[in-house]
Amino acid sequence: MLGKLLKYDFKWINKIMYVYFILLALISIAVKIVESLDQTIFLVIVDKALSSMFIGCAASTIVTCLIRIWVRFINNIYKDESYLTHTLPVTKNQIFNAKIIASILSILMSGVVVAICFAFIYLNSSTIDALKIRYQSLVDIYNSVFAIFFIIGLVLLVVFESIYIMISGILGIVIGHRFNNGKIIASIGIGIGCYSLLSTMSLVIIGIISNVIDYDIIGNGFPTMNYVTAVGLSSILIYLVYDIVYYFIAKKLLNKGVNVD
Amino acid sequence: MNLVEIKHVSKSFDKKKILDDVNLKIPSGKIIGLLGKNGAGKSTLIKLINGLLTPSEGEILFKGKPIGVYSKANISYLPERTYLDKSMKVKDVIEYFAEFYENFDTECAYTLLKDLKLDAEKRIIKMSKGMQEKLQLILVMSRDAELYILDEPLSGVDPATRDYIIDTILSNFKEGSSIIISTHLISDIERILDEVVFIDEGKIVLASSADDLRNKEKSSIDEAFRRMFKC
Amino acid sequence: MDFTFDNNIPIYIQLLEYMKIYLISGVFKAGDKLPSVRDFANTFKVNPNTMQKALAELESMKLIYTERTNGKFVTKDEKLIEKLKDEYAMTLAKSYFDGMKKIGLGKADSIKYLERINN
Repeated sequence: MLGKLLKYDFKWINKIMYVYFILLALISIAVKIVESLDQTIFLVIVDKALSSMFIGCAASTIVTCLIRIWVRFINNIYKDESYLTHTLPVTKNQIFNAKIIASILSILMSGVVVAICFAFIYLNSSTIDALKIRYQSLVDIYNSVFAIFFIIGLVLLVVFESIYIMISGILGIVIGHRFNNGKIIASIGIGIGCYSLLSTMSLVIIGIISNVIDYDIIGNGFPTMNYVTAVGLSSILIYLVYDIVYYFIAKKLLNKGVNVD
Repeated sequence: MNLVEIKHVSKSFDKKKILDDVNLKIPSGKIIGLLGKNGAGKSTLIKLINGLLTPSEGEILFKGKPIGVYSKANISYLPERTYLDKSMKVKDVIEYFAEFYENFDTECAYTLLKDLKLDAEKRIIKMSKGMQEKLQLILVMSRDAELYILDEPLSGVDPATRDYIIDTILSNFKEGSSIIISTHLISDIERILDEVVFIDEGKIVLASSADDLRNKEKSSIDEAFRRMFKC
Repeated sequence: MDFTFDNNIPIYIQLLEYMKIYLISGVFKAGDKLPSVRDFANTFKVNPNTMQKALAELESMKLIYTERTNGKFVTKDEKLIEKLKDEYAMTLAKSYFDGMKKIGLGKADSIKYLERINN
């Protein structure tokens, strides 16, 4: 049953996303074509315009994905469609889990598409060389294993932070409906509140950690490996914990019973 | 055997009691009319049986088990509002029901659709509200459920549709199962009722067999209801 | 055909009347197999339970009988149906004369009115 719910949630959230993906792909191809031509002033302007279009489109892809996730949640759990959702022969946990998994998958999918298009546009021999130099300097200062973990850590941080934004919104919706009779503005406010509360806290925690660990500068203005590891790991861990905590709070509140109006 | 047992159930919203110590047993194999004025608590009681609300006090059992996956698999519920994903096509919705409800009869649904000359390729959003309601009735009656709960299926429909709805209900509910029909339009429905339950201000004021009530009051149920509540 | 029901009288009693007319007028003849309860209920557009109750009543009057595996049949006793017809006709006649009596017409006058019909 979880799989079936997941399928319908994923389908609905991404029904519109394909349009963005196609648009992103088209713009990327256009940029590539323009850049491959002789650079006249006109083409440079076109190239700049296309590039900013790409950035705009990439940003709205992610934003739209998040909004679709939240709208799906509100429609399915609290609006007219809730009469069907809550009378399906499934548990509340299954309903909730399906939505969360579908949301995470949708965010990842949008993120990966944006990343691929981005790479397609900007990766060429010179940028690859530049990246190689950056990577090499990481390896030189620390070591190759650390360099790899550093990159993985950055990706994880972005993923967990995105999930955190998504789940803050969902918690906001759940709390908003429970205590505010479902006023949308209140839900958005509470969502932003949930997000900023822990985000601020994470800054404080990371600040404390950086104070505890010596910020020694070793050559080229890089901090020590210990320092980077501590700050990096704690940030990742903090967001992971936030994700899990918000997940359980939202699930618990939902399990107390939804009172559909 | 009792399909549903409602024991001392109360429901309050913001300290206002919508249902007050309701006790009711729904037997199997009967058509039961849940009759009351608007705002008497009919919908609230129905939502409680379907798990859309949780009781403030008391408990509800379906075949001895609390409301949950089992009861939801065996109760087919028609709410008063349109609850389908509007971006879906009719055929998608049928597939959706077939996937989630083991007792859903796809063939039956398509036969009923054909009678209504409804195109399976049509999107829900392009259908009138009346048509959406008919589609929902088809979906609900295409399930081989033990209990059908129909919340105000006749409100705001023309006489032809009313006949269509009553016909569809009568010819599709499975033998041995029960139907609860809530309505404030009693005269339209009373001829098909076995049992009647009068509800007023959140309390069950009468539960009786339809014919017993007719004999006792020497009148139609509609008249008996009007006399009792002077409306 | 559309069947109308008076909500003031238990539906099964009205169904019983319809069924009696079916038997008297020979829609179902002595020994005929009857449709199922469900089919009857669909024809009359009534609750199958109510239909069942009407049929049970007919059965207790010995007008129909149930064969365990084959369903319900009209009684083979034609005299019983004749008797039903006689009784029913008597009731109709009586109600006619009762009506005439109310407007002050005696039996002889009432018969004169009957004779004027259809001539």
